Amino acid sequence: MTRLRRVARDNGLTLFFLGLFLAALAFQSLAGWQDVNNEQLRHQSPEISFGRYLVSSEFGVAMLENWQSEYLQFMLYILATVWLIQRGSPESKEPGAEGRESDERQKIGSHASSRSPRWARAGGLRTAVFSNSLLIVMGLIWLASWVGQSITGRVAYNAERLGHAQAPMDYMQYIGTADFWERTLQNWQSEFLAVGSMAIFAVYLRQRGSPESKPVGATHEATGSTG
Amino acid sequence: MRALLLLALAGVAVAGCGTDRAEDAARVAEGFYAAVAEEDGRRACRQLTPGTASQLEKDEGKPCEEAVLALSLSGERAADSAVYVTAAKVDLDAGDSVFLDEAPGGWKIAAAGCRPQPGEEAPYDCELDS
Repeated sequence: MTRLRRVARDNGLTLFFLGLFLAALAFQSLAGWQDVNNEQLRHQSPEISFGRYLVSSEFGVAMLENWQSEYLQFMLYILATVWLIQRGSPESKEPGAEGRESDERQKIGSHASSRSPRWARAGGLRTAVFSNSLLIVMGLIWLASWVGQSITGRVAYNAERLGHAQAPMDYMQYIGTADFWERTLQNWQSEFLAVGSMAIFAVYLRQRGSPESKPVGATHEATGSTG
Repeated sequence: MRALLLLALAGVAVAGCGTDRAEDAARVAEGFYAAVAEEDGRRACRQLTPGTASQLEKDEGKPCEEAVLALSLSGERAADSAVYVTAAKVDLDAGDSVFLDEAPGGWKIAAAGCRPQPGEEAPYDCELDS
């Protein structure tokens, strides 16, 4: 097996979703461009170029409002699964294991092995940061996307308001508008529904071969096992 | 790191374009008000969007060149201007506001002689609009 093929196989999941992401983003940008130009024609305004659309706030807000909700969803799921359990779910820890768990179980500090990541062995602030690094990075991406949504959303919203001879809104006014919160919450509700239903469906339903599922023959009560 | 720098530069370039475009929009608004003040109806009408010019002709029952000179406009210099995507608003020194749309040849006036009305959601009351 060539080195390239091995790298592709070892990172298949990441590469598959990266490819899907890029393809979907490309098609979203084409559809969004068409939609904006249809709107321009309805208002007897000139069409805009594809390059111009790609750097526009219309494209920015359409992309970022979805990003922020996805990262929020995963961040909350990571956080909630520390403290909450779902009996029978492969996504959940065993009942009784709620919480941050012992250093021994988490293999940190003096319990780390020689092959553990350096920051897991280091102790102190570095281990504290590394112990929460997944949550920190997901949280930062969520916040950056949400702020990006609010900035681009305001510009797109003001463009629409000017088209109706209404005064533009400043940033603080915008984040109190129904437009900002409708964009935000319509994405949040769908993510929360999907992740909540995944937690409970996985108790009773199976997907053979997927680590997101229990083994097909596992009991409905078996918690935390994957197959 | 280099990608981040390029992204930052692109951001500055896009922001810079916004400033230039706001100045362009301000110049078009000032030019329109100057043309009306100088009673040059043809020059004034060239600054309007087709929709706004035809609405003016329909409302007044006169050619645009004549009808535009009867508008009650006040202002000379732009005091402030802001661009959002392909729309702009220019506030003039005497209190009028002008709304513009971006066309291939530059900014065109969609509404002029506009004054704010009470309430955040109320559209401006305009002497000229489409």
